[in-house]
Amino acid sequence: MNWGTTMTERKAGDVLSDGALDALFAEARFAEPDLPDGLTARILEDAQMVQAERLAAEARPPEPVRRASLWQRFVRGIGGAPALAGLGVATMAGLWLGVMPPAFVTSGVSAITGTTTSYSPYMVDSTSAFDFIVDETSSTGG
Amino acid sequence: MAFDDPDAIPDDALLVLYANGDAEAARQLTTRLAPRVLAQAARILGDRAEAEDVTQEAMLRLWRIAPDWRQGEARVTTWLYRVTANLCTDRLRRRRGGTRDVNDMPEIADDAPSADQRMQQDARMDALQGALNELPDRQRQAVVLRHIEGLGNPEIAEILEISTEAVESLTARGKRALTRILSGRRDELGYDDD
Repeated sequence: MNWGTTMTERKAGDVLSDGALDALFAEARFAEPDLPDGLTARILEDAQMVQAERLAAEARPPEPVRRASLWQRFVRGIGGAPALAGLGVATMAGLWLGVMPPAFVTSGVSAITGTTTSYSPYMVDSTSAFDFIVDETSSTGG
Repeated sequence: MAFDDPDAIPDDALLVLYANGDAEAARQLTTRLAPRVLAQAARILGDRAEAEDVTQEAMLRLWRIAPDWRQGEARVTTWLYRVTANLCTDRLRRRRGGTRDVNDMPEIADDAPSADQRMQQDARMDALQGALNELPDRQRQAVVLRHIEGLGNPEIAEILEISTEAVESLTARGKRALTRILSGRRDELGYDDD
């Protein structure tokens, strides 16, 4: 092979010419390594493995969508846990106001309606109206 | 699937066929692309076993990306050269300071030259590899892609993720360095002073 240099060029300066270097590159380009059989087999095994993994993933049935319970839907409907906490607080406050109304509530109602009411948890009627009717009936002998 | 003329099918179309479950497409892609990956890796790493590992890893990444490949957006070869370059860079960083043996170079495929010719060719390729090994990593990658793989500067710029001007600079400096190194190894190249 002519390496792009003449003997004169080589002797003069002893430097590799561009032509010689290009010829060396060209030789390397055409001397690409053969693909070893073992490597080919490993590459194709990988290809099959990846293909099988993907096909298996596609064939797998999707996870069933679990329907939310009534309670979960209620909580979600009112705005989640913070809203639920607020609702609880409001409920307790309402209950407390109903059982133990502050004085300004009862006086305010009296001023509007012109009636006087008093309230004590001990004044709850422990006898139902039905019991009263039963008593009436039995005392009249009916 | 059997291909009447496999060479007529573009790489990206083969990749889509592979993603759709075609095993023959994988074989065609391997035959077409793996030798180029192996050559690139071997020239950059100067080590046969490592080059084979890189080739397998680069092809594995190709198989994995196949379902997401968008036809027409990038060339498969460019993508593969880039993956190979990055894998080689990682390995070179890991073994920084280690030694490389040019005798680990891949065997040379040729048209049955005589024993003398074969030995002389092996000696030249070893000398070239030895000189390539002395270049800085980026210079070596640019020189291999430009002068041995025969790619254009814009494609190399895309592969190495640098500007075209930077590629020109790297290859020019690389060639100058190779000339300097190989000038001292004329006997290995078969330039006997007679």
